[in-house]
Amino acid sequence: MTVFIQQIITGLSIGSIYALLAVGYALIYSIFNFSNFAFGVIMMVGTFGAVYAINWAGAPLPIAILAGMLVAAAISLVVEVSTYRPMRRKNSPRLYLMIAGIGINMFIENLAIQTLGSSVQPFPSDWGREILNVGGVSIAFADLLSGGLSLVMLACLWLFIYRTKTGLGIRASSYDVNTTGLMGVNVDMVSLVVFAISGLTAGLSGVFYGMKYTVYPSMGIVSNKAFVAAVIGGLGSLPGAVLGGILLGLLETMVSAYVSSLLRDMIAYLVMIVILIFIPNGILGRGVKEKL
Amino acid sequence: MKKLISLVLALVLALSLVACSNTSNTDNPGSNTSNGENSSSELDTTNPIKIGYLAWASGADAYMGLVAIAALEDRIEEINANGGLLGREVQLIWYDISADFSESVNATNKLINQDQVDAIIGPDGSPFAITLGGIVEEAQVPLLPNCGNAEVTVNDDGSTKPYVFRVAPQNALTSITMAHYAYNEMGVRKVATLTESTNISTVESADEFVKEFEALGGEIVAQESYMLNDTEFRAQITTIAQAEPEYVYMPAAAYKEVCNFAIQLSDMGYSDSIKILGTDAWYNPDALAVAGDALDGCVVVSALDMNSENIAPMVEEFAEKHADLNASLHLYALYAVNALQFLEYAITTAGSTDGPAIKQALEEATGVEMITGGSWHFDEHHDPVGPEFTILSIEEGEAVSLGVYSVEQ
Repeated sequence: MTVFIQQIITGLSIGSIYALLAVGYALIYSIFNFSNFAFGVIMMVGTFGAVYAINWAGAPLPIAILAGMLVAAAISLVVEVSTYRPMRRKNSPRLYLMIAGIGINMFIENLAIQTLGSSVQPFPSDWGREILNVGGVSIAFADLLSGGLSLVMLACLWLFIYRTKTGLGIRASSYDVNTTGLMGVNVDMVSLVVFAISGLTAGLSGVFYGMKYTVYPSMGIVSNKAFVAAVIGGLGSLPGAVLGGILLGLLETMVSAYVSSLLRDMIAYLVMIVILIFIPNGILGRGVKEKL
Repeated sequence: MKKLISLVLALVLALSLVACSNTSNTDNPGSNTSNGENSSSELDTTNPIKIGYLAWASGADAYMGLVAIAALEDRIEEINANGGLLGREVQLIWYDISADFSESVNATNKLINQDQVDAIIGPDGSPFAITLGGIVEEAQVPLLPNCGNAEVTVNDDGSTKPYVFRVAPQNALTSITMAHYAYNEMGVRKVATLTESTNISTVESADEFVKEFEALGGEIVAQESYMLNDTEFRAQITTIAQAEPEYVYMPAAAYKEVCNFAIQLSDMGYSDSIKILGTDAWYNPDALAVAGDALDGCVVVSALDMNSENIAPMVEEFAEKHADLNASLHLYALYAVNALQFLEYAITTAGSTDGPAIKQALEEATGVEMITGGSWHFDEHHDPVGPEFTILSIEEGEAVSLGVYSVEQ
């Protein structure tokens, strides 16, 4: 039984990282109808921001986490303003935006390898690796915090989107960006806010990921899993993204533990295909019109 | 707003230009031609000897190739400063092959047909090397891969690939040595294996270990696997811990997975009861820095002790000279230098850069001094004879040599 609970905890802990990243994907999809495939490197750059805040500036951990989030938000904004926005202005098909995102992902990842070096480094704080032992089950502090913070982040997002004026603008934009613009909402401002928030979640999840595992230029690869999680949950739905992330984490862990680690990805992705065949919009996705 | 956008765009453009200028000297194809000034005046630079290198130089484990390129270029700089080979300047031309397996075939064809190299070093990954035997045979260009799978030098029918010469120990040898040391010297009886299932080299290493360890009378209590770039191992750890092994044999191809496994093993409280047996494919000073004390108690079989008197100064010098790489000198880079040393020997002995002449000189070599120590030659399967294994124990984040160990047949 202890073993089973341990596997559940492990699944939840992986899932919480997927969930946080998936929220970032879902947020942008819900407004602009495309997936920001540059998300992985935004997360990576944020993590390095936190690492350098500690290594160079000697920042304490909370400040470093904040620095990581801000750096990621800044990169996210640069990507939006330099690439996505001009492309949207020229009515580029959504698919092309995604391809541009993949390009940015490749470019920044290899730029990081050339400038920061290709080696793996530990996150310069052991705090996240502190272990809580409850009846033979070990839980890492970072897991508790990342699980908790995903929920807090989600709650903040919900409040922001449903209880503020900017949020109203975001919701309006998610129905029809052009009409919302005509009605006097500053759509450019809305997009900046959305990309900034999505960058903040990328930075936060990156820091936790780095803390739990290690930091290296290709770490953004995990965001592919998060994208899958966002799709399972219903692309564009924030609670769906969280649900999808947790489900994928649990599914992977359980297959590894009780079937075979060799079959993990095969079975996890098979389940995804089956879910999409029977629920084409994902678990909590409700078609194109109601996305938030 | 438009001004702001153009400003940011301009910044991004400027940034990418800076990036390009930063990397242009290592851009594909890289070549080492910057030694003209300090080389001797008699050096023939009009007709250089061209050595190709197939590098694993991008992606998550780019350190494997980037470090090797730097080590090879250092050595070539030295050769050219001492008058080159046969009085001719030596040039290194490399291509990044890490995209996929077909890239190693493309790069080899490019090196042979377009760059017309005299010999090729690498690749350091078996899956990339196995397919190249036929290409280099047809072109009569010797290939010296630094990787361990048996099929790299031998065809399915058991015949030796005539133009392929391995410059790193075979996987089987490494695994058998580890199995014997664990069973006979450490008294280990229960071992689990954790294997990267996507790499033919690590799968072979694990299989060889299992075969040998069971033949000796040991018990393999669990066999788990993972995929390249996995970071999460707690599901496997929980399963492995149920089987209560004393050690986990992990023949990983690069170190980041081992570090994550060791850290999670320690986090879950098993680091006192379960330790890692490893190979030199991942043993690297940087691994010790990343995993910290989580690797304490691990035992590694390595063709080299990086802390030894000969190697430690090299590692230090490399770190100083190539601080920008942010990665330590590692064994597979030194194997690449071994290959270069074999080529220096063969070209000088043959007095020619003809493929068949180099091949013959390599086959007839009776003992060539290697940068990794000892003097090596090739057996009938073009596998190196001469590498000695050192057993290393990791204690307080440092690798401590337990001495040289060889299996008594």
